[in-house]
Amino acid sequence: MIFFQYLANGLILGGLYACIAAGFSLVWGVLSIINLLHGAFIVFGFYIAYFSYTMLGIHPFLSVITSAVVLGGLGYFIQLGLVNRVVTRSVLVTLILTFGLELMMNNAMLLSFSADYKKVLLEHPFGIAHFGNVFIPLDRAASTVIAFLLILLLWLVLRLTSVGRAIVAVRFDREAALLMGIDVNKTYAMTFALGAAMAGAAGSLLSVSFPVAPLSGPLFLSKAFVICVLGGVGSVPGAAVGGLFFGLLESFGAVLFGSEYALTLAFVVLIVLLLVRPHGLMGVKGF
Amino acid sequence: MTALLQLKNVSRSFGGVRAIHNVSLTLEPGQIVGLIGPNGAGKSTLVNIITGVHPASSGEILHKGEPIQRLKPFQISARGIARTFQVVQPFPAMTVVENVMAGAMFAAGIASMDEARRAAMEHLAFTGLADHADRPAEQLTLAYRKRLELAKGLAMNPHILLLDEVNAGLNTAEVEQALALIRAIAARGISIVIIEHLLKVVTGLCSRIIVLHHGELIADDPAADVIRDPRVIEAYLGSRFAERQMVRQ
Amino acid sequence: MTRQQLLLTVIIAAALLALPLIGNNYMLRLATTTLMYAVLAMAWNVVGGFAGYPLFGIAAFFGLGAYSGAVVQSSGYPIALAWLFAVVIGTIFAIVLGFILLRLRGHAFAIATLVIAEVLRELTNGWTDVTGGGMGLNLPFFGWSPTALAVFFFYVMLALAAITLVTTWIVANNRLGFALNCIRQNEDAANIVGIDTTRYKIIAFTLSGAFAAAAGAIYASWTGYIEPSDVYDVLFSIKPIIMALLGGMGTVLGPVIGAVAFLALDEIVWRNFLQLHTGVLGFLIVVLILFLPSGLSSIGLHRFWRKAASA
Repeated sequence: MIFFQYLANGLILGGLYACIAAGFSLVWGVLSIINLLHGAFIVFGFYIAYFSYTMLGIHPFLSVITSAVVLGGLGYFIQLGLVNRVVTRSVLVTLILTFGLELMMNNAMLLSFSADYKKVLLEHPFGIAHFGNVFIPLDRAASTVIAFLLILLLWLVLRLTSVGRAIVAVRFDREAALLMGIDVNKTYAMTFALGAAMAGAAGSLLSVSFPVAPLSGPLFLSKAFVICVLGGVGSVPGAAVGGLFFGLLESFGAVLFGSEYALTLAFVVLIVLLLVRPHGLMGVKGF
Repeated sequence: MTALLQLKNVSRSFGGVRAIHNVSLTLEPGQIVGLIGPNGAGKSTLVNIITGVHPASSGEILHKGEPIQRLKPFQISARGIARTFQVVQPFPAMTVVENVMAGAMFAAGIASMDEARRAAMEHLAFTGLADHADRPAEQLTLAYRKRLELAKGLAMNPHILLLDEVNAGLNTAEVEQALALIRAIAARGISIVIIEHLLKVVTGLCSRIIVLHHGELIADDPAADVIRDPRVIEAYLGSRFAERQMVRQ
Repeated sequence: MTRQQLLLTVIIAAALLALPLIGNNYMLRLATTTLMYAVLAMAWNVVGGFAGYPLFGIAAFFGLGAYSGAVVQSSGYPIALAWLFAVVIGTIFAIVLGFILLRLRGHAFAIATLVIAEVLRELTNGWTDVTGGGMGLNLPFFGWSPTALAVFFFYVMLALAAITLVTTWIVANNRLGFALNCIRQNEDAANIVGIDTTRYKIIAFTLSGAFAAAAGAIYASWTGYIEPSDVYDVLFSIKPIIMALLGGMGTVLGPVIGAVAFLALDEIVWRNFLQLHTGVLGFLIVVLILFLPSGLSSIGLHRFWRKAASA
């Protein structure tokens, strides 16, 4: 039945969306900063994968590692050097700062990579599997699986490593964390780095499925925002659930309303949710 | 005649926690009533419910016979019920007089800004802050901030004033001054409910004392009787002390 | 207002009114653009500066006004009617949106307004029958000479800017401004003190929306051709904020000063760094935020700026 096709599409999309949102949610929850660079980070991760494949033949899935490392490092220094100076100031200020940085990064990518959409065309794709009437492109399915693994990894890092636990501590009570001897600045920088790394990884994963251009950044950002609010800001499991929900919404929504209205649909859902359940589907608790 | 303020079986739960349970009380004009209870008893919550900051989960609140439990805070202020905050909440970037003007302009409904300013200056004079009128509110010391809270409350032209821990953080001399001011306010015909957890302050000032414990009203008596009420003693000092008191009686 | 400020205002007003006589079309165009951004910055300032709600989507109203006006105008109606219609639509939309969005605070409000602009863009793009969708909308040509058009639109935008300025001044100096000020500093305390915060916030939001819509409608008529990605561009949302920050957020003249300063800077950058235009803009924004926390008044001459900005 065609319903299952849309379901499958939605779930596959959902995993990627979850990955897009997880890092964004983390930064928002811990630093109280909406990072307008997030979209640009994703796009950059895409380009790393794209050029690694077209020039060096490295499969995009392997580039996930490279992207994570590169973007993670970039994020770390951007936060420590620039964003950290305004972390305590108003919403307005932090948003404008990351906006300015985004303009710079966007311009740089535009000049370096040109404005047209690019997509990775794999020479040896994994092919398409059928289950009855449902077609599942295996490359996309594989990206989704990897996306979920990454989210799991992030969650484990937060729970099990000392860095991760420092992040959780700072998120719940910055003052107490300070008193316990946690270096809040470094923790903020690590959080931002993790967020950027997830974004870069997501960008690389996307490369096998979707065409991307420098101006795709804001669209990813908007979607990440909606997913975060759906799932509960600061919650990694929330981002996973929110991402899946959003993927399904887009998949079925495309059928009902046409895919051009994806964002509108998401926004309507968002508004309804904000009015009814201000803490999102998962609330502020889970981490 | 209808009571000034009447609470009937008011309850409020936050999630699973019962903050206020089945509280009923009546306030008549011209009274100074003490509202006491150990920390966490629900005193501030009760004030929040009366002033509309939190809605009551059940029960009724009648002001001069009219139900007000569904009204928003700004509507309740306009009806003449004002409160001060335990942790003082000024408008930090405004001057002292501007802080007081806010209450005069909005709750008390004075249309002209100049008139509001004049009224504000009067209230500042009454609370002894006239000299500080044009200073930024955040520069005031704690004792003066408490007075600013009082002035702000008065500017709203209330006939009921709910004072939430006006004495927290003040030294003895400052407490004396605060009490004198409160008596002066009562002398103007304003009914006052004063939340305190210092029994001593309250017995000197109030004709009647209401005691809350774990969200429930356990006593509502003339001041002299309350301190001998065994349930009140138990709430404050524990059951063994209360038993000893019982035995002595 | 002091005698000096009044004199300065008169001189500036006179200079502006006489500009078409001494300037060429290019200067007029630049001046008109500056006035338009001044309107947007002032409009933003009512919600963002006075009330303290970080509005990140004023482009939504700008674009809505542009399209509302353009659709009416291209249906053959007189231009003034088109503009009036745009203002009405902008006002209604602001009231409805205000009810929904003003419950949110801080980040949620900021991004929600940002996303609204994107959503409107998507919807406008999709409603091809009426708006022409991605192919844009052409407005009927007057048949006037370029100079006549330039002068006409300069005066129109000047009039709008003047109206916006006077309105801002009135708001700042009466109860509404006072209430918004309280809301910005401590919304809960504002509620307690008797301020109907919802009502005042919606009024502020509506003023913002109406003026931004008017600017959009005039812009559409002026440029003669609009498309969704142009009028709903996020830069129309962000630049006014930068200008307000630059000149002094929450003051009356700050946004105007900021608009002039920003556009002067923008001209210089555009002439010299065309390909790096957005990048340099971004860089200047970063510098502004990191090193000039109170806008231009951080550079010194504090009292001058404050006096200039708060009429």
